[in-house]
Amino acid sequence: MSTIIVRLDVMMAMRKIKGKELAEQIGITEQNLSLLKSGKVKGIRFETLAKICAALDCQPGDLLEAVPSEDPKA
Amino acid sequence: MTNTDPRKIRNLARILYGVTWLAMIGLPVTIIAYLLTGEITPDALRAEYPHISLPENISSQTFFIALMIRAIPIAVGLIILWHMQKLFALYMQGETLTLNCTHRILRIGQGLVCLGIASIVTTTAVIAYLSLGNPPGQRYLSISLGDAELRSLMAGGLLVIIGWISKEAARAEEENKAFV
Repeated sequence: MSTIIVRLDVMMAMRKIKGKELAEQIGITEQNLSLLKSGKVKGIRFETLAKICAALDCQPGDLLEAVPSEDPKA
Repeated sequence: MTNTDPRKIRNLARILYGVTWLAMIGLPVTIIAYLLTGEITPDALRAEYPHISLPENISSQTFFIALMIRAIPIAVGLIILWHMQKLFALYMQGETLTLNCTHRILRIGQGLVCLGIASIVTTTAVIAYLSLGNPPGQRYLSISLGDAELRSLMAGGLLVIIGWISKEAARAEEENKAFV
C-alpha cells in the first residue's frame, strides 16, 4: 500500500509564498493549511486542490506524491 | 435552500431547556402534592376505571402497589424529559449535527416507544391487580390502546428513524470536517 505525502511546503518555498498569503488566496484558514501541509487531514477537496494549483501555478502531481508505505509485518 | 439561523435554534433550545426543567420538577411535585392533599384515594382510582367493577374495599397495600405500577410510565416520562433537557443543552451550545445529539434523539424516541408500551401494560396490570380481590369469574384482564398510547408509539417510532438517519448524517459531517 502507498502513502500520500503532501509536498505543499516545498512548493510554497519554491514560489516564496507565505502560509497566511496562500490561505487568503485559496479561502481556507491558516490552521487548515497547516494541517494540510503536515498531512494531518483525511482528504483534500478537488476545489481546494484546484485553487492551490492556480495560486502556486503548479500541477496536483507537484503537491502530492505516493510513496510505498512500510509493511508493518516486515 | 436557506440554512436555519443558528441563533434561532439556540433561542428556541433555551426556552425548551427551561420548560423541560420546569416539567422535571413540576411533575413529581404535583404528584407528591396530590398524595399529601389526599386527592389520590382508592375511590379516585376506582373512578378512573368506571367500566370495571372493582372490590368495595381496596386495602392500603393493594392501593400502594397499584400506585407503584402506575408510577412506571411517569418514571419513563421523566427519563425522556432528562434526555430532552440534555439535547436542548447541546443545541444551546451550538452543537447540532453530532453523534452526541443523535444519541439523545434516539434515546427520546426509544423512551416514547417505551412510554406507549408501559402505558398499555400498566393499565392492564393495575386493572388485573385491583380486580384480583373480586370473586372468581369477576376478575378482569383488559387491554386498551388509546389515542395517547398510539401517539406516543408513532412519535417514538418516528424519532427513532430520525435518530438513525441523523447518526448517518453526523458521521458524514464528521468525515467532511476532516477534509480541507
